Amino acid sequence: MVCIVFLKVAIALTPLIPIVSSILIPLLRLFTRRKVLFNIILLSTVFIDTILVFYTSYHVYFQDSIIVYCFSNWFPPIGICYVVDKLSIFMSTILVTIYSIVSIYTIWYSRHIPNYYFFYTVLLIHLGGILGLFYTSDLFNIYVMIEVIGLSAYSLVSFYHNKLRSLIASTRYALLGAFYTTLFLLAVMFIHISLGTLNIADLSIKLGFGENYIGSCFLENTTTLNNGYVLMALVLIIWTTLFLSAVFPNHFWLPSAHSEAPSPASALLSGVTVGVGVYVIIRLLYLLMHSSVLDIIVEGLVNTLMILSVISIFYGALMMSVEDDVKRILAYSTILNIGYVFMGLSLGTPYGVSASLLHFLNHSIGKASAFLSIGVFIRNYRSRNIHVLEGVGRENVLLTSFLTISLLHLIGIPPTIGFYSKLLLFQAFINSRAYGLALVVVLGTAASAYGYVRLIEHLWHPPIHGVLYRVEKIHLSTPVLVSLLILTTIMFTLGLSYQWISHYMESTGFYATDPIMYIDSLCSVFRELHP
Amino acid sequence: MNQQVLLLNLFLLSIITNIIIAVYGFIWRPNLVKKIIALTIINDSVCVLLVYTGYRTVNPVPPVHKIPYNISYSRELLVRSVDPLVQAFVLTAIVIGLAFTIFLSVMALRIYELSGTVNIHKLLSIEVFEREVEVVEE
Amino acid sequence: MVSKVSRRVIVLFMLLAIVVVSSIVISSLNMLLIPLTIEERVIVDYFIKYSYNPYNLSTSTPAIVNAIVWIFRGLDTVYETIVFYTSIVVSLSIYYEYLTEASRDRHRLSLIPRTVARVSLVAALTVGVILAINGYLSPGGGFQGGAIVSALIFTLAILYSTSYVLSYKVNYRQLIILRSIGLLGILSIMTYLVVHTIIAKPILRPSTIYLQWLVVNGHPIPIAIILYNIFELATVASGFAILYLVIIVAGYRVSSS
Repeated sequence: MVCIVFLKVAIALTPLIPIVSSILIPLLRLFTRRKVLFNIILLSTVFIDTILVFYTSYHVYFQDSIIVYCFSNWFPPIGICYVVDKLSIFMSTILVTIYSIVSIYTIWYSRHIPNYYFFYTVLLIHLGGILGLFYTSDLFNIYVMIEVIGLSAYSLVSFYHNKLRSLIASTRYALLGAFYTTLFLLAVMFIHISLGTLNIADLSIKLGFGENYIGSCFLENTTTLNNGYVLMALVLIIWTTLFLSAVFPNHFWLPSAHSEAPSPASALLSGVTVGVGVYVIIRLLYLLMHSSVLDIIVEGLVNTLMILSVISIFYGALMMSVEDDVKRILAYSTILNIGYVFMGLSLGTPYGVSASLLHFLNHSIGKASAFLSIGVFIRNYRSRNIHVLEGVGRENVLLTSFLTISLLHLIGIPPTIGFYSKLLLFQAFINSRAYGLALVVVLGTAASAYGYVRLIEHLWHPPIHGVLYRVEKIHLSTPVLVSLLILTTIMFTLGLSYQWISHYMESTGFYATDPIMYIDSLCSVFRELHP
Repeated sequence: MNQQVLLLNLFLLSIITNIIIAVYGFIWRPNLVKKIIALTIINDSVCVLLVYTGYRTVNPVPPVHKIPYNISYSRELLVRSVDPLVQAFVLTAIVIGLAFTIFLSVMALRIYELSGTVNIHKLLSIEVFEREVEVVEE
Repeated sequence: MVSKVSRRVIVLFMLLAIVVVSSIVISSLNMLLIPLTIEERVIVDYFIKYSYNPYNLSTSTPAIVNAIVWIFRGLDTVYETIVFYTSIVVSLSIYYEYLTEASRDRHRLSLIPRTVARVSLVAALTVGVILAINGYLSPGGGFQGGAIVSALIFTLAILYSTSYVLSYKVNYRQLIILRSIGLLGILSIMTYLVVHTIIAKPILRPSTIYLQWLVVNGHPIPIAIILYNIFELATVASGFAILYLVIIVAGYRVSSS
């Protein structure tokens, strides 16, 4: 009983704790300038959140429960409820793990930034926003959270405000983001005038998911369903989601934005912020997919997703091989990997979803590790051009080996867990008889392998036409070593223990595609709270 | 009744025209400040559209109770008041739009200070030029 | 040789023609283009019912929109305030060092506006604060009151010159402290409500903060929404004031360079 009370407090306060810290940082800056204090605030906030999320995930996974908390006990369509099930806690666990590792790295990185406290502030707001989005079950709350995440992401990209390029990249990102979130607001309007409710579970019931729920759960509207409005709303929401995750036609902001951000921010933006779109699509598509009313429409949308993700994969692989800027190579590889994730999602089976989620986990770990190690190179040799950085890898063997392991993990070489996600994707496509998509997995891996290996090769081999002047070896300080070591250990540990975690991946996939327990838990809370 | 339907339709048509013109301005105008203005117009027009969908055609009344509790007026509110939920959405959406306008305006000011132009065609050519320079400092 | 000007005239003419034609078409319809379906939205009835009634489940706020914004869906408003705060922080971080250059702007207006301002600004301040505190009785609330109060500081900066305001009247440190107090106040009320709902009994009733001994017209005063409005007033007023001062100084510097 005490556990349930503490769990509810935990999930309600987890998104609010980083925000409180982000308010304290500028306030304390007025009184003191000691860097140690701000480092302690950042690390302690992120670690408290990590502990809370891990504790919640232990309960959700091992005791198979869904934790629901409705704010101030107002019943669901009227109030906002946080519903934490396996999908939410899986994405939140990835988020806080990457965040704690990147925070350790940021302690070293912020030595070179004059206004580092502002960086910490925006990082913490970003964390609070994404956590709030993963926990909520209300469509308008998702809109507000997307705005919080977006604005803090734009500030992170434009952090170096003396460079014109980062300002332009951030402005492009911000203009597009503001336009797309206005479309999301239009979608909320269409849903409100046709269905009258904004709770995700309630939407799913009203769209015909559970015929035996109507009348006994949530408030009932007296209207008949108007398909046109719901279709428009669904299309607008999915379009915004494709923008957030940078799938092919809406990806043009990503290479500039993720390469101009400071390296720890790039790691976070590429690792976890693109997962926001993945989460929103899994939630909405699978809650609405089983409804009898929207069958044909959802099928068309899913086919579109499939085509766009295949184009994303090949476009990302192609552009990765011709770029000269090291961070842009990694940014295009983000587009490639998100293409894989969406390809798995567009299958519609639980195996596809669990393969996509595992691939997203791998991409987060590998991309964070790659950006962090590249950040050390860039910070020390003051250049991002791949031709200028030729041959520096030979002097810094440890750092280059971290980078090489993370890139091999992204390609998918066996003892790292990157291999298993591609294997799962391949199996899921073969199981659903989508042989063309299975071929795309293999071809995409081959195409991207050239891009990754080219990066390592340029770093390792001395330049052919030119003189290798003597570079000095980088002294790796402790935070950098710790963060890169933790990430590499995770890659190998998860890979070697794959048969134990595959069970959890499968159960998460099944949970995500069959939302009956989600709706059930919200309905029982509604019956408790409704007078 | 017919006159009211006509007026509401014309109002809706004018809002939609507003949105279309603002989207055209957002896409076609190369000046950054004009894009920000167009974005503000789109956001505010969508908010007006939201409030419009909460209107009640028969004897509308604002959603405020009377202060000493009046049970007949409260019952009347159930039948006559305008939709308060969309107004709550609009309150939040306007503040968020304002925050975006602040951010974009500060970005535009800083871009103008650094490069002397706010034309995105010229800015993108500067960016491409800078990218071809060999050494790039972070 | 179609010049740009005549192309714009053609486009404008086409747009006008489309608008006129569609107006004629619409005036012949007898139905609404987007049907107003408010009669079918049951959730609105619940909001109206639970916001102000003398029975046991009520929030005692006669203004229904403010009840929705702060009490029923308070989490949205907290995060919207955080979005506003983020934008102020970003703008301040770019232009902070220009505040030290504020001493360049010394232009002050003549005696007449300054004397009139002594009356009108006090009146505006009163209106702003009353609008914020009465947010639960009539439409208004913290954000609207905060915007009015912040316009005072802007007007002061125009009347008395920015350097005078920044050195004598209003300090950058005071504004940041006020903004932090406002934000921390909002978050602490939200946290108190969360903890009170989960831990205190009875568990299943919606909880909000009342002063039981302060009863007006038979209803307890809803202290939660009043405190929310006051803290939001503090946050928004100081946030906008910081922003105005920074933008004035930055614009002055950019245009003079």
